[in-house]
Amino acid sequence: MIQLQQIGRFYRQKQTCIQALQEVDLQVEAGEYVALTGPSGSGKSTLLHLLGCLDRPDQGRYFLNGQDVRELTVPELAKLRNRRFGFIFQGFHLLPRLTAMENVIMPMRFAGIGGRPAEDRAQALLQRMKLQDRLHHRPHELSGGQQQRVAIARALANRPEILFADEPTGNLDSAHGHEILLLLDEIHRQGTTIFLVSHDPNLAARARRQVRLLDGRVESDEKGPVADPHESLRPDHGTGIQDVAGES
Amino acid sequence: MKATGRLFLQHLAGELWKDRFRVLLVALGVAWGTLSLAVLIGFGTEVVRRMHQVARNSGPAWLRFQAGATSKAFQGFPAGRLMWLELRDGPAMQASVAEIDRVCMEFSSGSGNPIRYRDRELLIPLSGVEPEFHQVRNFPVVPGGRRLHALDFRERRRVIFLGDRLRQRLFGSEAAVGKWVDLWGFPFLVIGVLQPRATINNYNGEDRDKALIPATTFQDLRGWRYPNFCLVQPLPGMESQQVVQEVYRWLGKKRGFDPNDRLAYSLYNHVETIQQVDSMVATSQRLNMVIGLFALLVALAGVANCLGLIMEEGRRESAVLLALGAPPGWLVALRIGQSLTMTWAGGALGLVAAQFVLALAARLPLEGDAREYLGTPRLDLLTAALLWVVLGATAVAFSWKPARRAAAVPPMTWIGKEE
Repeated sequence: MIQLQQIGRFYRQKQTCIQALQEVDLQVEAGEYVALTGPSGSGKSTLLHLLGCLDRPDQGRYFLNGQDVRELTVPELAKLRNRRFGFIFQGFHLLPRLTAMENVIMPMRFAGIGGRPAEDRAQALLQRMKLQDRLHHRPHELSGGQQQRVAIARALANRPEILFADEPTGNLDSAHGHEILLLLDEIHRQGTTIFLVSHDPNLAARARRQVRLLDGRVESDEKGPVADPHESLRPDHGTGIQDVAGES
Repeated sequence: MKATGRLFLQHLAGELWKDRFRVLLVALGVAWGTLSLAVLIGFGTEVVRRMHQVARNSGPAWLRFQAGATSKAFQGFPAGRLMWLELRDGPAMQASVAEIDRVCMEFSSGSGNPIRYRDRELLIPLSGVEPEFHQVRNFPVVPGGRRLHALDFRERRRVIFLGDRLRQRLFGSEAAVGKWVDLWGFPFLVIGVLQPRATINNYNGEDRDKALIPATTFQDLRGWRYPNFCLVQPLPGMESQQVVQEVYRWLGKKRGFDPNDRLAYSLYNHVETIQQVDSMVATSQRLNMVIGLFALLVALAGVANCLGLIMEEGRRESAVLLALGAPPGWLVALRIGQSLTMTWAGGALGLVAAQFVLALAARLPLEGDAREYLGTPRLDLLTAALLWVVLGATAVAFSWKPARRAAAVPPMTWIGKEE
C-alpha cells in the first residue's frame, strides 16, 4: 500500500542544514497499525507528515498504491488527503468558529457531500464518539477529550483508508488519552490503516508494528503483539463504540 | 458544488466576522477613498462641463480689435500715428479675408449712459452694434422678444435690447418688451432681453447690465464716427492665429502700418482664452483625480495590509483546511472573497456617502453666479459602476499573489509549528 524509498527531508536554517529524515525506507500494508516512535526531534512527526502528504520530501520516492505522489499536483494532493486520509493532530485543530457538527461536515463538503447525507453521517459519528449532546457546541465549549473525539469524528468523515494520528493524546489527561487510544483500536479493527506518532513507548506498544526513529533514520522496525490486545474489548475499558468508521 | 458553495459563504462570513473590527476600519478607509474620488469626479466633471459652457457663453470664438497707435515707422510714416475703425471696414474686411466668418463693429460708450423707465433712472454701459453682434457675442433672447436685426440698423431705429439684470433693475417684475424707455432723453422701444447666462468674458461692463442699440442709431444720437471695437469671428475650425495675422495684414495694408506692429490695433483673442480655461480646468480635474486616486490607493494599501495580517494570522487555519482536503483554489477564492467584500462594502459605503455629499452640495445656497460655474455636481451610474469595477480589480490584484502563496504552502509548514 505504502512504499517509501530513500526518503530524505532537510530544513535550512540560515547557514545550517538540518536533516530531519535520511534514507528512510518503509513498506506498509493495508490494515496495519504502525507506531512511529523515537525521542523528540527524531523525525517521527516529519515522517508522518510526509506519509500524509502534508509535506513533500526533498529526496527519495513515495508510492501510494503504486502511484508516485511526487507526480501529483497540489489540488490532486488535496483531493487525496480529503478522500483517502484522515488526520488527528495533537492540538486537535478544530475550526474554532464551527460547531462540532460543522467541523465533522467540513471534509465531506470538500468531497462534494452536502445537505442531509453529510449531516446524518456527522451526527452518527459524533453519537458514536458519545458526543450526541455536544453537536452544536463550538470547540471552546468542549473539553480537551471531547475536542479530540470531534477531531477523530472529522478524520473519519470521509471513511479514510489511512488514519494519521500525531501524538493524539499529547494534550490530554491520562483518562481522556486512554479513551482516545481505545477508539483508535476500534477503528483499526475495522480495517483502517493507522499511523500513530508517539514518543511514549507504552502507547506505541498498542500498535502491532513499531518503527523507531533516531536522528532522522529508521533505527528499528519491529512487528509484535500488542500490549494488551483484549483491553479494548473489556467492558470496563471499552468505548462502547461499534463500527466506528463504518456506515452509519 | 452547492455544499462547498454554502461552506465557502459560511467560512467567508466567519472570517470577516472574526476580524470584524479590522474589516470595519479597512472598509471605512476604502469608503473614505471612494468618497474622495467620487466627490472629486462628481464636482470635477460638472465644473469642467460648466466651465466649458461658461467659457463659450460669451461667444464660441471671436477676436476683438481696438484701434491704438503705431509703434513702428512704416513706409515713410512715423511711429505714433493714431489708428481708427470705421463701420465700412466690416464688409470690406469680410470680402477680403477668406478666413473670417463674421465681422461686427461696436461703439462702446462706457457706463455713464442715462436710461429711465417711469421714475427709475440708471446709468448704464451702452453699445451700438451691428446685427451680427448677437451671433458673434452669443446674446440669446428671452422668448417673447427679438434681437437687433438688419432693418433696425438700416432704418436707424430707436430700439433697445436689454441685459437681463438691467431689465430686472429697470422693470422689476414687469415685462419689458414693448415698453418705452428714455435713453439720453430719447424714447427707445425695448425689443428684447438677454437670456441669463454666466460669462467669463465681459468688457465695458457685464453683458447682463448692458444695453444694445443699432450702431447707426448710436452714431446719429452721439455723433461718433469711429467704432471702438471690431469683432471678428473666424470660420469654424480655423486657427485663430492665422486669422489674426490675416486681419493685421489687411488693416496694415488699408491704414498703412507694419502688419507686425501689434500696437496699431490691440487684440483680445477669446479663442485663446477659451483654450486657456479648458486647459486650466482639465489640469485641475487631473490634479483632483490624482489626489482622489492617492486617497483610494492609501485605502487599498490598507486592504492589502489587512489581508496580509489576516493571512498571517489565519495561516494555521488555512493549513488545517488544506490538510482536510480544501482545494487550494477554494482557499484562494476565500481570501480574494474577503478582500472583495471589504473593498466592495467600503466602496458601496463611499459611493452612497458621495451621492449624499453631492446631493447636499447641489442644494447648498450659493451666492452670485457660483452655481453657474459649479453646476449641479452628480455621480452618474457609469462612473459609479466604473469605480466599483476598479475597486474590485484592485482588490483582486492586491490579494491574488498573497492568497496564492498561502494556498501553495504545504500544510505541514504551519501545522508542524505547533509542537
